[in-house]
This record gives sequence, C-alpha cells and structure tokens, in this order.
Amino acid sequence: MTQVLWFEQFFSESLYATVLEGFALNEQAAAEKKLLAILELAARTILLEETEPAYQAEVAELLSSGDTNAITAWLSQQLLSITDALRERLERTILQIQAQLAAKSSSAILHSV
Amino acid sequence: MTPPSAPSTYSLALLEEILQKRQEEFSEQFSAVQPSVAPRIPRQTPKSERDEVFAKLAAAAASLTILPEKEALYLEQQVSDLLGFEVSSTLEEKKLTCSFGKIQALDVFSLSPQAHPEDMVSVRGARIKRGRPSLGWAKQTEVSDANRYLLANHLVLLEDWHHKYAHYKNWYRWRKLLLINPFDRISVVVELASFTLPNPMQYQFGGSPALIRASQAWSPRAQGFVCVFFIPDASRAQSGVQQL
Repeated sequence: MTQVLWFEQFFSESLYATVLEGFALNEQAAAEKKLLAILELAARTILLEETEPAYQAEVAELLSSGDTNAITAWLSQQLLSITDALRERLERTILQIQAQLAAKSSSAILHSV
Repeated sequence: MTPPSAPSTYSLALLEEILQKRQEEFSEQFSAVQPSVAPRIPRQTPKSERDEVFAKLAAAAASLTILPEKEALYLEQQVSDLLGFEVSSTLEEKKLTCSFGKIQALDVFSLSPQAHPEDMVSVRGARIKRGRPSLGWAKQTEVSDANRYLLANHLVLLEDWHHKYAHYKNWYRWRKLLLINPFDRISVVVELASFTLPNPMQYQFGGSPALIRASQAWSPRAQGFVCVFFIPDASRAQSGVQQL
C-alpha cells in the first residue's frame, strides 16, 4: 500500500501528473521522488513562514517527524487561510518547476536545430 | 494559468539542480529553527528580578487587567524563564477569557461528578452537588484521582464560542494549564474541567477544593487573585504543586 504523504492533498494530482509525464518512462520514478522532495520543502517553508517564531521549532519538529496522522491533525486545527496558502503555493511551485524544465527542454531542441 | 505544453522529455539533472537549490534556500531561511529537543533549563534568576516578575503578576491579577499584547508577551517570557518551561496566554490561536482573575472555590462534584466522598482525602468537607459538568462526564481513566487539581473558566464568554462550540469543547477539555498564586509564589499544574461558572461576573476562574487548598488561592494575601497560563508542552512542566 502506498503511503499518502501529508502534503499530497494540497496540490492538484492532474497538474503533478502532467509534469511527471514530461520525463522519459525509465526516469519517472526518480523524478517523482525529487518532485515530492521539492514539494515537501515548499510546504514546510510555507507552514514555517506562517507560524509565529516562538512556535517554529515545535512545528519544524512535527514536520520533520513525517508522522502523517499527527501533521494532518495539526493542520486541521490551523486557520483556513493557511491551508489555502499551502494549496496555492504548492500548485504555483509545480507550475514553476514545469516552466523551468520546459524552458531548458525547448532551448535544447532549438540548439539541436 | 495554462501549463506549458509538455515537451518530449524533461531533464532529470535539472530537476536535481532545482531540488538542491531549494534545499539550500530552505536551510538558509530556517537555519535558526531547530526542532526543540532539549528542555529549557531554568535560568538562575536574580532575586530582584524574581521579585519584579511576581510583583507584576500580582498587580495584573489584583487589577483583573488585560495587558497590552506586547507587555503580556514580555511577562510570559519572563515567567517562562523563571519556571524553566514555556507558558503562554494563547495556544494554537485559542485563549482563556482572561489570564488574570479571581478564583472561586467550587465543589468537586461540579467538576468531577464521579468522585466519591471517600476518595477525597485532602478535602473532606467539600459540598456535594448532583449535575453533569459542562465539559461532560469524564471517563474513569481520565480522572482517576478525585483530589486532582481541576479548574473552570467561563469560556462561554469567548467571542466565537457559539460558532465553534463543538470544536472548542473538544480542544479545551482536560487542557493542562498552570495556575500561579503570585502572592504566595505557588504554582499548580491544573486541568480544565468545566467551561461554565456559577458566578462569572464576580469570578473569572473556579477551582476544585484540592486546588484551592494547594494553591493557597484564598490566603489572606492572595484573596483569590491568581494567574492562569497555557503550557504548550505539558510534559516539561513538573506536575503538582511547586513553591516558586
């Protein structure tokens, strides 16, 4: 059974799949790992930015524990604006990555022509 | 925003580069934030500073005041340093109706109705009242000791109580708090057992007989005036009564 990561519910699966499909089939598994690592970093950044400095250490501890249940329970107690910000920023991160990858890829095509 | 059209293949190396860059940015931005593992060691506070902190707490408690945010934060910081663990007037955006106020002696049965008179070793004279406490019946495992220190606060006065009643009830129930009697310099780790008070206009808190006795809240000096704070990490606070 695949473990659902705590931040996976905050971005569009179809958008994420679009980026993965851009990689060669044999590279998709490795790309997925890296992509999830980037998204986790982005999610942690947003949540730490939204947390008062006094509690940042505790939040950092919770997030680095990787305990999906504890993090989800904690997130459900947060303000709606925080989870909205998380959703918005994670989708923006995916789009940024896609744009960076696409720019490199198209410039490579241009050079080959 | 429409995503750019998918090219033939993206570069895995570039994705790796992006990941590394973001990791660097993250550690740069949050280098100061380390998960808290080591308990805070109580600082040896000079006597004059201790006196000053207790005087401030006593003044705030006696005047039933609501301190300005900055002043309250500073005071909380001073108290945290003095105690060796963090205390706060807000926790996860939630707070009590006030941090400073007068405590009323309540009968133990309005806070913990399943207690038996025989269990109450410390306060045998506590009056018995039939009736369910506002935060519900406690399971035997939750309140095994009738002499535990239980506190009530009239949370109904919170601005958004009626909108978030169900959530709040769940959140506040048995929440660990620190009650300080600044006049006699006694602190007690208490649990929130009720969100209503029989006389909320006159009293801000209610306490079980054991709590009133242990905290000496009604000593001639204290006259019922106490301070109550949340304990964000209750495991670091020594339970029971402490002479500060």
